[in-house]
Amino acid sequence: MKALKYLFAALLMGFTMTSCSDYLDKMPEGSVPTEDVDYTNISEMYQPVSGCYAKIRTSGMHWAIWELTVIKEQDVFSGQFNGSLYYKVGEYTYDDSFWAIDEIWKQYYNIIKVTNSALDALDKYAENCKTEADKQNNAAYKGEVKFIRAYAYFRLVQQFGPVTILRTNDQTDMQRSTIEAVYKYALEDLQYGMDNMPRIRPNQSAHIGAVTAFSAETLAAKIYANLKNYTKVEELTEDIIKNGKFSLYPDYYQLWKIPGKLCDESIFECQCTDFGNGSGDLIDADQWFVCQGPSNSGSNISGWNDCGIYESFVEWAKNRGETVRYTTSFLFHDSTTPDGDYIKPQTNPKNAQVLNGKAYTPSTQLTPGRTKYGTNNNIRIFRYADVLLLNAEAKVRNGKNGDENFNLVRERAKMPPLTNVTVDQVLDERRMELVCEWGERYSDLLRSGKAATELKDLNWAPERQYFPIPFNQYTSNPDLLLDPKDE
Amino acid sequence: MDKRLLTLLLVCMCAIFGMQARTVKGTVVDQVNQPVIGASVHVNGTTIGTMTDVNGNFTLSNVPDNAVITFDYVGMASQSLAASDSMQVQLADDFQKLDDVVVIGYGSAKAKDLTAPIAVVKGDELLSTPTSSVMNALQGKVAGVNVISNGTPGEGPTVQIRGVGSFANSTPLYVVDGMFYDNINFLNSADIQEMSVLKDASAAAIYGVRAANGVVIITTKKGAKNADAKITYDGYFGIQKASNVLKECNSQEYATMMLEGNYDSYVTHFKQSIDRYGGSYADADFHNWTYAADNNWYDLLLRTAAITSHGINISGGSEKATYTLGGNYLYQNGIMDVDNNYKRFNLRAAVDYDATKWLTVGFNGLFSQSTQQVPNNAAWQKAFNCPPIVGLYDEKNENAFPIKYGSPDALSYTSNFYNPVAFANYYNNKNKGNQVLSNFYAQINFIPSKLFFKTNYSYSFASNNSRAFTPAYYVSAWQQATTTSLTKTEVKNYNSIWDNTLTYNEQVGLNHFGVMLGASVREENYRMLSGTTTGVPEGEEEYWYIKNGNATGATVTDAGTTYRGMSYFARLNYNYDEKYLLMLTMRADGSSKYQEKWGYFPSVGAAWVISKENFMQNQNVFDYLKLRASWGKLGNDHVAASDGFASITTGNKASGVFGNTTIAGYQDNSYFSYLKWEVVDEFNAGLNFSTLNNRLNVDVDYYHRMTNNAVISPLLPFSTTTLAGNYGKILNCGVDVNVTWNDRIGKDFKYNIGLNLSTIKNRVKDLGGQTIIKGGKTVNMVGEQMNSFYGFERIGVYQNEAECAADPIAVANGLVPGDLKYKDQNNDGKIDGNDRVCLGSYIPNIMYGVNFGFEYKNLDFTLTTYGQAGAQMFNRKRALRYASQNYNFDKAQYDNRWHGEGTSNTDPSAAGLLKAWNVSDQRYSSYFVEDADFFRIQNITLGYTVKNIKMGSYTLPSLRLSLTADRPFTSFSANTFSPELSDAQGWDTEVYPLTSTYTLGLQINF
Repeated sequence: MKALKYLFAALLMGFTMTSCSDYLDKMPEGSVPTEDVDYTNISEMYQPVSGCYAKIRTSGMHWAIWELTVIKEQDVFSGQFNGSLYYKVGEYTYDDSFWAIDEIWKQYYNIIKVTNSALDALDKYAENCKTEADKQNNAAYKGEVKFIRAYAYFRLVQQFGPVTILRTNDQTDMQRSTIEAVYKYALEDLQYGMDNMPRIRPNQSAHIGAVTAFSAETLAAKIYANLKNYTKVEELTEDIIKNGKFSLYPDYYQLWKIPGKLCDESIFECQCTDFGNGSGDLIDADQWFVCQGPSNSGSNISGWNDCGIYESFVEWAKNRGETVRYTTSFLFHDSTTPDGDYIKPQTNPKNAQVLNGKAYTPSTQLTPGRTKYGTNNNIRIFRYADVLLLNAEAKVRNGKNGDENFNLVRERAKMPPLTNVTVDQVLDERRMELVCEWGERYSDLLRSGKAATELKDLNWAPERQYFPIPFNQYTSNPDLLLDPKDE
Repeated sequence: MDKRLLTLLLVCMCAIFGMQARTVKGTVVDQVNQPVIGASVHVNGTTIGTMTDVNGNFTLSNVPDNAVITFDYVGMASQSLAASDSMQVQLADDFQKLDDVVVIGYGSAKAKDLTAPIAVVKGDELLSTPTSSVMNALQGKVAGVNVISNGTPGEGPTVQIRGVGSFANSTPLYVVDGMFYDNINFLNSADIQEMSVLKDASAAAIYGVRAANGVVIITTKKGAKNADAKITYDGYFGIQKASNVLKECNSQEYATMMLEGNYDSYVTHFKQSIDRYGGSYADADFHNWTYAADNNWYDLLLRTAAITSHGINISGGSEKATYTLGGNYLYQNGIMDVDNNYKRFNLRAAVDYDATKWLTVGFNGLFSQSTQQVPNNAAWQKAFNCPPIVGLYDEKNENAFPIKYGSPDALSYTSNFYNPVAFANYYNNKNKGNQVLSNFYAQINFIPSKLFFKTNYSYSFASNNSRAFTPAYYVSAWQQATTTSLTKTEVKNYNSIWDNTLTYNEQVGLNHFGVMLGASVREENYRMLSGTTTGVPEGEEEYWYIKNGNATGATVTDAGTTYRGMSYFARLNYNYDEKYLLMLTMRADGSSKYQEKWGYFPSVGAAWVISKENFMQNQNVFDYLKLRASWGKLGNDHVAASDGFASITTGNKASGVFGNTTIAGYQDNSYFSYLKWEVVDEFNAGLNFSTLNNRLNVDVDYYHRMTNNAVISPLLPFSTTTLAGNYGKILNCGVDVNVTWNDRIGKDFKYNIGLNLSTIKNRVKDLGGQTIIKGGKTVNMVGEQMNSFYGFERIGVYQNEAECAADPIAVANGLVPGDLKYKDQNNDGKIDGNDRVCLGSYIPNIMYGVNFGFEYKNLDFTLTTYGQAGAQMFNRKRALRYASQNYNFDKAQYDNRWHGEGTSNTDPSAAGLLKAWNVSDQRYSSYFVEDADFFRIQNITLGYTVKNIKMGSYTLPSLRLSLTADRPFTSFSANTFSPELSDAQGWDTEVYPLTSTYTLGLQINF
């Protein structure tokens, strides 16, 4: 029975050996906890900033956001005359339960949340910045993030008017703020950016294509334009023109193609890449290009046939004598593009005959092996031509002569120069130059008070200038139905 | 004559081999004097035992004097008799099964000693269902167990025990020979000796933090001592056929819907189809147009498929050892008409050996190898949506290769449309699984059958290699691949559990005590490594290695988890004279997964066998009557340890592009919450009784399960993200009833009738102070069922202009006759978010099964049925029209459409179905909510057994032929392929048809 004794001992061991408590202290596999980001490693300080640019790409370029933004322009419609919710947006008739409207709201706030936490991260890095150069970089990086945040608010106001300022990500008060208050908040961010980012072009940035002080200045000028403060618009655009070393890309057609990526005209671009490889990773803006592609079965130059351009506008452009802007901005069915891509006839009379040519990337410029429409092209968001025209408009409105910068834009478009341009002429020039670009025409009509007359046939009314608060949002956050506050 | 001679010989041999211990022989017969084959014969207090042979005979040697021998057989009352040289034993039918030994957590108990409702299913009962997944065979067999089947070959069903108590995960715990599993798809029905379903807290609490969703204990097959080798072949061959295929609109009906809806917008598609494929639009009335392309995509995707299974099992044992060895091969072809199937080869062995008088050791191992050629199930959805006027093949599709498939984009349909047949075919996805379950134990008997210590180590290793290959092909701009692509994923799960238990049983007079103390350590590991590339050569599977593809653009990723657990547990049993029973259990569970490391899970159960009381002895209503009650706490650790981004998001998705490259970026979503396990508090009260001469047996249980700390994920403001917290309280309560009637008519006709029924009342009781939490698909509202559909209540269809004009809601929303009419719940004259109500949930209120079986001479027959009532489902297939108006319609939408006053008060007009008022992804209405009730003939099996077939000098003990129809008939009203949905919240997007299986089976005992 000696054996039994040993067995009892073994048994006791069996019960006790497992009681060492650190057995249960097991780190989770494969994930890097936030607290463990090494804020002393300044070489990684750009990572949260890069993440914000990614968010612009993955959230800000959602195809539905794009469509609803440009459909509200005077000259663009959904692409199908079928009475759908998209189509109705072009007639300023909204359904507050339309998912795409909700998507705009959520995606821009997603960007804002990511920027808020990136700024927190940069604050933590700042504590560890020892050298003056690091401190400067830290401030410049914050400037980039604040630009992106201001951009999201700018778009939210463009779509919804008064919106909620999300000062922190755990905010519980969801009451909206007035347009003026939101703009004030965005302008503070942009001022910080102008003060702390380098005064260079984005294509000169250390991180090529990253926004600069001039990008912030451009956005600020656009906000001031919406606020009708043309003194500020003139002041800011003057600075960009005098000191920014920007220039218009000489070839208006190639400006939109692969050669025009990050050219000297570029102020803010959403960058995409296929790394020059015909297969493998593709970092792109999902369906942004595809949604605007033509119905063209059997070809890689094809898409959903959305974002049609009214033929009346095509006529208007033709009558102006437009040449390169005509061939570049309009993609016609039953025709061959300058690069030799044939687009089949549009047999469905209910579908757009003319689409946005700016979103067209020729098949000859696609990396061999890639088939998705627009692969490897960037999405232009702000460009220098806009600044020049804003400057011209502001000067005219401020009683000065705006011809010089105005004619730079016309010259590049192979259009004869004009003298003593009027506000109306500038607005017409913007209508042509910026067609199907982020709803610029609609914003122009709103700030110039022309919406009621120009959009009369499209059923526009002042109370319908903005999208309604999305059904999903106000039903989960009834605070949104309160009157906006002035802060 | 021979028998007598043999007996004589044996007697002589005994006389030669020693006198102290004698040899006992005898015969066991049933109450109609038929020999009982395979009855267990066991000398009490020793390890001596054997089983009866084909003639019911047995022989035991070395039986001590004054020994008592116990005879047991399933379905018969056990008997203990004093040993004598020659024993004639007659066992009587026992329908109560009170003496059956039931496997409970870390031990076993006799059915009559239980204080908890434990349902036992024997391996034999599983064999009549031809299925690749064992749990399918349980459908309709056990009250309180809801089995929702899945159509894909090799995929297991969803199993819920006693309702749904968690928003996160309601999968029960499977304990296979001591090892914990979340699914047991690797097991073969023939590997299983028996299953115990632990339904209440007093039974399950011994499994602590894993037990909240119920526990299913599975014991794999074992041999028996002193038994000759028993060799069994078991196999079947059958066919599977899709049943209840939902009817879709044909070309003409589809045209009617679209063109009645909006002629101008959609007419080109139809003209293009006719121009391209043939037909005529000469008639002025589009209702009379004809179409050469008229594809029923479901017909094109479906086939009749084979299923077959073959298994061999050998088992037996000597005086000191038992062994079993088995192998099984299963092949199941899929009903989708592409290469898809499931093959599984299982090998199993178990050995137990009495090494010394005080030490028993044993091993069992199960090896499973499976290959699953996966069908592209998304093709069902594509088939559902694709208009019938699209051509299957199209020679005019110039760029199409390698097969000239027709393309929806030829008819100007855009990116939501795919050729479903091409979609199913240009897909090659294979999973290879290898799984090993091994189990080693040693048991030290300090005092035989009184005090023993058992150490048990289980190790499970499962690897799954999946390979997805896409060939280069072209159908349309959005259905193409210019180069081949290959993704390979290797997943490994390796888990170990080491249990140590000390068990002590004592009897003092009429007091019976039992104590079990245990400690357990476990570790669960998951590792995944996945790589992908393009440009791998087509042709043979052997070429498909990532190294053979493009190096640029190849990606690799990996992931893993490791959780550790440490537990101490104890069980205390006491019973007085088998009349008053008490059971206490306690488990302390430590887990590395959570911030809070330790949880404590107690339970208590008591039972009173009233029929044993003296005052019950003079009545003859109840043959047996037992009252039970129990309470306990159970944990559910199948919830995440935290939610939100505990960590930062990295990778390409979170990296900005700068020039032609990326700069590593991260996004920090600062929403974060720590979570802890959910705790279920369960009370159970039950009653068992037998009456009418033991022929009627009734089990009734009432349960009340409250899940506390339920993890629920509300949407964050302004966001698509949700953040979970332990906010919820969910109640499930109901009644489980099991009634069986067993009887004989005459000598040869034995029959049984069974009914099982369970009710579930599911309610959300608390949401951390909020009254409603909205998820992506459903809402949770205090006082309603969890995961309720939420939307407007349809009260009819506007019938005429006058009705629209008179209704301010219709005027405000520009409604016309044929649009749905919603109820203005708050009577404020408008329809808005405040008019939404709960419209039901996918949790059934009642599940029921009725079974009937008989045996007559060599014939046996069973019929099982199964049904559920009170569940609703959301017809997402119809609701998806918001994404594309050109999707095809189901036939019922066509038949029931409003097309003039009085034609329908339930369904919108064709035009209405194209309108956001009626079809919107945010404005759901009860039009999309349908009853998920169904009733099914689950299984019909007819068997014929021939015994003792003489084959020359060899006698084949038995051979059984059987015919089975599995799920031959299902009835339901919903416009769906099956009301059994894989989506836990009841969204029907699955569109996977049900299958009926018909098999011919053969069982041979050698």
